[in-house]
Amino acid sequence: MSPNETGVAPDVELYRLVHPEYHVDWDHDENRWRVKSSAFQNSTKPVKSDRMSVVLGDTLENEGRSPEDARRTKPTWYVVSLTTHFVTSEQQEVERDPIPEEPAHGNVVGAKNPRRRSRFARAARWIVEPPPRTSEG
Amino acid sequence: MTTLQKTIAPRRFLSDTDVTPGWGASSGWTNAAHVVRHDWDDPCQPVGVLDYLAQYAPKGTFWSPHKRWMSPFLTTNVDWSIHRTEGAIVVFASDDPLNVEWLTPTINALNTLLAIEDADEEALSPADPKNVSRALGFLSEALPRNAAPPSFSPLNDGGVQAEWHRGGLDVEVIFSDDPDESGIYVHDKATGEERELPLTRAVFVAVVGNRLNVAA
Repeated sequence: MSPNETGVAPDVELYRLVHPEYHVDWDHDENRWRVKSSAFQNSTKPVKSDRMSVVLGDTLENEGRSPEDARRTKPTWYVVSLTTHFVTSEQQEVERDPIPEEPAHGNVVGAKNPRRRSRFARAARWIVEPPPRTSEG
Repeated sequence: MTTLQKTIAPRRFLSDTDVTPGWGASSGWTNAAHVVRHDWDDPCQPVGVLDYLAQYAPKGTFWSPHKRWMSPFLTTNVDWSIHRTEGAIVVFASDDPLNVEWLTPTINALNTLLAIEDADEEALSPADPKNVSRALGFLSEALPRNAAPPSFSPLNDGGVQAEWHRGGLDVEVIFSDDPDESGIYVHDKATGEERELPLTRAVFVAVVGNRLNVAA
C-alpha cells in the first residue's frame, strides 16, 4: 500500500491511549469491554485543535517496540488501535509528530463530531484491554 | 411537565442568621433551601435549581428538601437532596436510592466528573456544572426508575456524555454548550443503523423505551 501525503501507509496501525476510568464501558449484550467514543476527541489543551494524539505503529516497529509499549507514557491506560486506512476513510489525515517522550507520536487530524467518534469506537481493536469482568454490574 | 428552562435572577444568599432559628435544623433545610424555597413562586425544575446552586450556593451548602416537593420526583416518588461540596460540586442525591436503580451510581459518577483536575495537559477536562445539571435534569425526566445507570465520560469542552450498551443498542447522550455536539446518538446493533436525534425527553423515550432497563 502507498503512504499518504505525510508518509504513513494505509496499513499502519495507530494506537490510541484509553483512560482506564472514563473511556471504557461494559457491553451488556456482548459481554465485553467497549472503548467509548469519548476516547476519540480532539485535543483542547493547551488550545482547541483538530488533532488527536496517537502512537504510530510503524515507528514503534522500527524501534523494536511492541504495540503494548504504546502506553509507555501512561502505563496505567489501555490501548486500542485503528488503521490509517480507516481514519483516512473518515476524512482524517495522519501526521507524524515526534515528541521527546514519544518518538512514535503522531496525530489524527480532522473534525470529529459525535457520530464519527462513535464509528471510531466501533472500529477500534483492543491492544491492551481492561481485565476480565468478574461479576455482572 | 413544564419546561426545563427557567430563568433565575441572581439573588444573594442569606447568611445563617437569616434563617429562622431552629427551622433549618429541624427540617434539614439550610439557608440555600430557604432562599430557593421562598424565592420561587411556583414548583421549580431540578435543572433550574441545580443551575442556581451551582452559581450562587456557598460551598458546603447542604440542601435537603422534603420529599416529593419538586417535579420530576414528584411523579417518581423519590426523596432527594442537593448539596455543593468543597470542589464546587453539585450533588443530586436520593434519600431512598433503592427506589431508583440508576440514581446513586449516576450521582457518584457525575460527582467524579466534576472533580477532575484540569492540570495535566494530556489529561481530561472537568465537566461544567451546567452540563451536569442538564444531564441530571434530562435523566430524571427520561429514564425509567429501573433503567441501568449510564456510564459517564467528560468531554473536552466541559460537556458530559452518558451512554449505555445494552438492549441491542449503543446509546450516547451528549450534554454540551455546543449545539453541534448535544444530542442523542443511537446505534442499533442488529441493523447497523445510526441515528442522530435531538436532545428531548420525548425522542429519548420513543427511541429507547425500556430497552435500557436492568433485566428482571
